[in-house]
Amino acid sequence: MSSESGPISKGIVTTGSLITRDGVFMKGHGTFVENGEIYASITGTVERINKLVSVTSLRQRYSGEIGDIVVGRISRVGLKRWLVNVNGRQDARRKSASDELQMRKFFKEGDVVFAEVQSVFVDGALSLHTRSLDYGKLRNGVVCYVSPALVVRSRSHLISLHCGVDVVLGVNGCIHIGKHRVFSHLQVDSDNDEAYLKDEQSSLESNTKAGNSSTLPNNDYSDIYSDVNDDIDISTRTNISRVHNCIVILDRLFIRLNSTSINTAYEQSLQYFVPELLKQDVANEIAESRDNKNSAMTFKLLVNSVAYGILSRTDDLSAQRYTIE
Amino acid sequence: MSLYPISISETNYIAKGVEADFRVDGRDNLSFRDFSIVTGVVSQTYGSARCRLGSLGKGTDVLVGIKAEIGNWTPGEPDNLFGKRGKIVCNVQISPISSQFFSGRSSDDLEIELTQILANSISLEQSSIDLEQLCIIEKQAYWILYVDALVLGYDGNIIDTLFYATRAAFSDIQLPKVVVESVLDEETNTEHQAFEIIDDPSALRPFNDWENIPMSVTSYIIGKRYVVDCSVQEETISTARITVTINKNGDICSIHKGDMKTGISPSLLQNILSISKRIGVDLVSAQSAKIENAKLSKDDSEIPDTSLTFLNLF
Repeated sequence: MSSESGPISKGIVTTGSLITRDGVFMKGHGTFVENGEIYASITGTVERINKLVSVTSLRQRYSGEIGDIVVGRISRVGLKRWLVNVNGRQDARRKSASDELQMRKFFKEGDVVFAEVQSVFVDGALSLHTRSLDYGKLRNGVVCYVSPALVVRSRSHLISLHCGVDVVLGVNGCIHIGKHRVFSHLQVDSDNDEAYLKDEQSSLESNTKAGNSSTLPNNDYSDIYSDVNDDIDISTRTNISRVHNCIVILDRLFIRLNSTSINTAYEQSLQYFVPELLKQDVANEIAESRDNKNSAMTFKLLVNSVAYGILSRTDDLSAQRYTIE
Repeated sequence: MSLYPISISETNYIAKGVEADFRVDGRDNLSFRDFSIVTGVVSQTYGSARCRLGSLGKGTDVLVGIKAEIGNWTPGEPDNLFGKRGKIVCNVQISPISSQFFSGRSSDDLEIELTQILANSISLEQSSIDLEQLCIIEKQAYWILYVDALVLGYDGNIIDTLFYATRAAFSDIQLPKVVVESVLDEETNTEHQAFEIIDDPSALRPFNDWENIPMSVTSYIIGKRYVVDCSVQEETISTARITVTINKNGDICSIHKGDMKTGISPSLLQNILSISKRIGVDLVSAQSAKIENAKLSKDDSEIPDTSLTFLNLF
């Protein structure tokens, strides 16, 4: 902090706490000004970009930005557009350039869509697009909701795990976990190129099969809008459930979701049966083994957790073992 | 309940999982999630408990508080013709914070349904609760227990969570002692009985035989099979619901059917009843152990077991 800009609170602030008395700062999101002093209007972490001070809440609703990759659920089908619930302040819209008479042929209520934010309206509503062939309807799996703060905007929101499971991380905190499929255009964070290529061929075959049986003329589109699941064998199903439970654990521990954290949690979980994972002691153990590998991350977790009262007892998560490094 | 929107492919995925006896979170069709119980969470009540089911700190969460009041018997009261019994009045409310689907009046129907199920199972004869212990003076005064349940989190299977919390709250009841004495009315020279509540915090009595309160096992029918302890998604795609209440002896106390999209074949029903009985007996003993545990940890812990610390268990 440079000396002329004056003192500014760092770290976590609560509602109404003073951030700075210095008049040179500008108020950003999550702050308000009284008598020239900037106060926090929400609880969260203080962030400063040059002269702009803002507070980011950790448990907030999702507010969209252009280019975000989101996973949402169709909540209503309109005449010319679909309304998508993206867990934001407003429902997002997905504009359609397609046949207006067959809106439900493409997306129905309840469908899970994978899309990109095209623009943000003044009132906070979003406009989405699914222009790439990789976007569109998600199937062959389950959806799970986490805190939106845990998914950061990054290079890749598609994670292909070794075990043949794809994780689609929506920036809005909606996560789809499903059987591996091939994304042709988007960058995929795959750690297993060989398996990836092998899978590509088999998936291409299944794509054409699905295309033939569909009523829609275009093979590519029929796959995007298909509701029919592929055959999912029991081992893939087990892996999907394992990844699902790992993501639930990471969410409860407030650990950021990315390919590293998901992979580590997955590997740690392998010594347990899938249904055991959501039992409290096992989840704690997985969390603890993570600590050794990445103490910086867990320290941050601890700070966050204490601030939010997640750890209010000392015996929970053995908090006394952490030291500030 | 069909509040939760769900896609065709998800429905298919979940249904296939149920068929393969491997559900989304890895459980088989007949296993329950972990649940935790704390008692004595609301100090203004005569007995309270909170139960949370599954999902590591989130999940379905029900808070039950029991308040007692003294009621005056009037002749011709239904269910209490001879004035020998007390009363239990149930009320279930769903807080909008429990789920984004419960805003405004959308939870009203469910509230009424849950209240009915709880009231039928607890305050009627079939509950095998000794209501005569709530009578203070025959044909004159009795205790009314108001059982108020508040649903604070919703992740499927509200009904069973409601029963766990209610049973635990009954175990926590401490009613004030009442002294009944005969008073001689000098004007008419007749004797009548009067009671006095002892205003001493140590003179309390528990609710006897709360162990007899039944627990419920709710099965949801998905396809040709059924699952217990559903998640929200599974509830959404299920076609029928059967709630069986079972007491500690393994006797079936009541059966409720809900969410009628389909009927149930007699053989399936018979199967559900026998499985529910088996699960129910285990649940009753598991729950009793948890209640004991909750009471023990409350005694020797320096940190008060407030609702907040429980909320953040894990």
